[in-house]
Amino acid sequence: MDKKGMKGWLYLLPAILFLGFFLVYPLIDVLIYSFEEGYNFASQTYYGVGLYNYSYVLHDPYFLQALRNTFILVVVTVPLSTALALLISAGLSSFRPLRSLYQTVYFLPYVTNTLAVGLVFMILFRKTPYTDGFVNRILGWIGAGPIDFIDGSYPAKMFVLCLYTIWVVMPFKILVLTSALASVNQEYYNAAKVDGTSRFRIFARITLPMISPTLVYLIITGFIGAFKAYSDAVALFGTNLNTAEMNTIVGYVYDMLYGSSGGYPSYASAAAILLFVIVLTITCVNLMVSRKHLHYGV
Amino acid sequence: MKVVLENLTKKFPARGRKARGEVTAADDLSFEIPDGKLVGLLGPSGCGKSTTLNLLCGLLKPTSGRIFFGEDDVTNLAAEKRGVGMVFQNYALYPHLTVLQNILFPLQNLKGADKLSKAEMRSRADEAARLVQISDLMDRRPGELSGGQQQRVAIARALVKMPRVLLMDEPLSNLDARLRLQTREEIRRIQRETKITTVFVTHDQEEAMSISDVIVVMKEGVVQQIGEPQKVYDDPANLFVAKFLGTPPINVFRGRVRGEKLWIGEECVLDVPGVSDREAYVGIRPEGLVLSQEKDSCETKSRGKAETGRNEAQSTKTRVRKQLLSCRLSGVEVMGRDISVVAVHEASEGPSVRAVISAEQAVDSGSSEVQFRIRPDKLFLFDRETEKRIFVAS
Repeated sequence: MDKKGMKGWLYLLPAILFLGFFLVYPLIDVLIYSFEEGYNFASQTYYGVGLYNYSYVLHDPYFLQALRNTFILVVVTVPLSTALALLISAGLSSFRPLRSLYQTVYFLPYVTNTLAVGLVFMILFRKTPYTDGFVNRILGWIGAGPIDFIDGSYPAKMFVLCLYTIWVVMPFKILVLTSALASVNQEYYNAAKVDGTSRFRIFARITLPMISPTLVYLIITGFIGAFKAYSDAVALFGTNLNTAEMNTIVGYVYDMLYGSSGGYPSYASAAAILLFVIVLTITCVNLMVSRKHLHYGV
Repeated sequence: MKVVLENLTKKFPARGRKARGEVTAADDLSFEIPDGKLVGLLGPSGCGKSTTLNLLCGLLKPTSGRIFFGEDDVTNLAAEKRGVGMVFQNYALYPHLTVLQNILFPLQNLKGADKLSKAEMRSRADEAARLVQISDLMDRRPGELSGGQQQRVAIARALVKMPRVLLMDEPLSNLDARLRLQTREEIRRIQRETKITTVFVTHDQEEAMSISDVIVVMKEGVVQQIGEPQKVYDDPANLFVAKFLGTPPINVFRGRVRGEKLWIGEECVLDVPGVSDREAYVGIRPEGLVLSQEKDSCETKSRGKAETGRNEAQSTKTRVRKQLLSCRLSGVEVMGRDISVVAVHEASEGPSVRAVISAEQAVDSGSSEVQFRIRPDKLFLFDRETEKRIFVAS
């Protein structure tokens, strides 16, 4: 290799070492773990190679529960949070006064600690022997009975988890969408106005297509983010998520490694690979669908 | 449709903390645009011509004054109710829609009684496309079109709803020089064919002069002069208009009038009957400076030796002393069709004096001095203070 090429590799070396150690090696290791059957953590030995780990995980009721929770979370929160964020940012960009105040208010959840937010949600929703919680008090005014959102029925808990997730992910989406809306050339709106276009039609036929690349980005990252949900559930329901029926796939992986039933890196790896395959599939589908309908114009 | 502007004023509030005072972008504009004419709003950037256009189309509301389309007062009418078609400077074509969809867009907005069937819309769009000659591009997207083609699509989109008035904001500024020439002929043709009253904004005097029926010259929100291009060129109302029209620009000298004779520097250049003694700006069009081989002026009464026979005959017949302007020659620029003589004069306002002469005429570029005879119809006097035109009795 000539001197110039050597130099180039030398410059790349820190990044290659870093990424290799912390990204590529663990990725390959996880893949290997997931195929090693009967792996013993203490002796670092295994009996054979096969698909048993996957079969175990896919038959584990806890994993199926986590899978179900994660899918509900994704299906509910991604469209809802994106739609809400779009609505709010569209409102923000057409409402000039107090805009910066609102922008700050909407951005607050983004800079607030997840656990602190969880605590606030607990106060709002938890029912204890002493108090029904804030939300239940409001429900009481309209005549609805107190609902235990934290330790109660599955739909109630799911509702809180979804609400919490939407609330946490929205600020970033609002921020990105507001700037996308602001970057649409005013001349398009002027042209539409001269032609007598209704507000709804302007939004549907001009604004939406113009910001569609940003929307696609938000939806894809939203899907990925929602699939990786874990800390939100912990903040609301504590670390024993399996008992609370509120576990997520990442939570399951974590439990398999470190939880009370932990010490099963093979199962954890298999679950992680399954998650990866799901996310990869959905992202590919997302991209394919959006390619068909998107025109990155001008 | 006749368009009338009546004392139209638009003020923009001051922005920021430091800036004080509002900006008057259009100041008491009153003029009439005759039906079916092509009108050019002309002025340097910041003169309020785009503001005027936006007031006409309804994107801006005037601070005071009124706008009439025909007999209708449209001052407080929203943009979409005025029946105007607008071609924006950057065309504002929707990049995600095809050419056809872009042209159909205004028609699809129509509601109630005006609503058209799909077939009607399609035939209107086809008609507009045929008019601007883009029928074979209907399925492309704006990104796949050249600048000139985009321009045509924008015009088609503005025309498809059959507007009462067509407005164009700097229609040619985004095109390259060759295309600009072609497109302005195109605009002229389309306007002639449709007979729609058309107002367009430009900062390019050549563009405005070449295709407009009427030009409106503006400066700092105030209309300077309105008229047919040739008339405005031949008869400018003030120094600004004289300077703004014409390439190369008019030569301006500091001069003075003494005893009905005009003096530039130490030379008497012209008789100016009816003008009282005063200081003045003298504007002479480049084609108004005619190269002369004679050496004479009011002071030196002796005739030049090398006079041509024609000149001699003329001078003896009229018995007029030669009135010439002498300048220091600094260069000759060959343009092909004609020659630009570049010279320097100490009384000139600009850095150089330019004369355009025919290419057949020989210029002795070796000599350091040139004499010009001045065509009186190409010379204008302006007041030193007000810069208003001083008229010379003829």
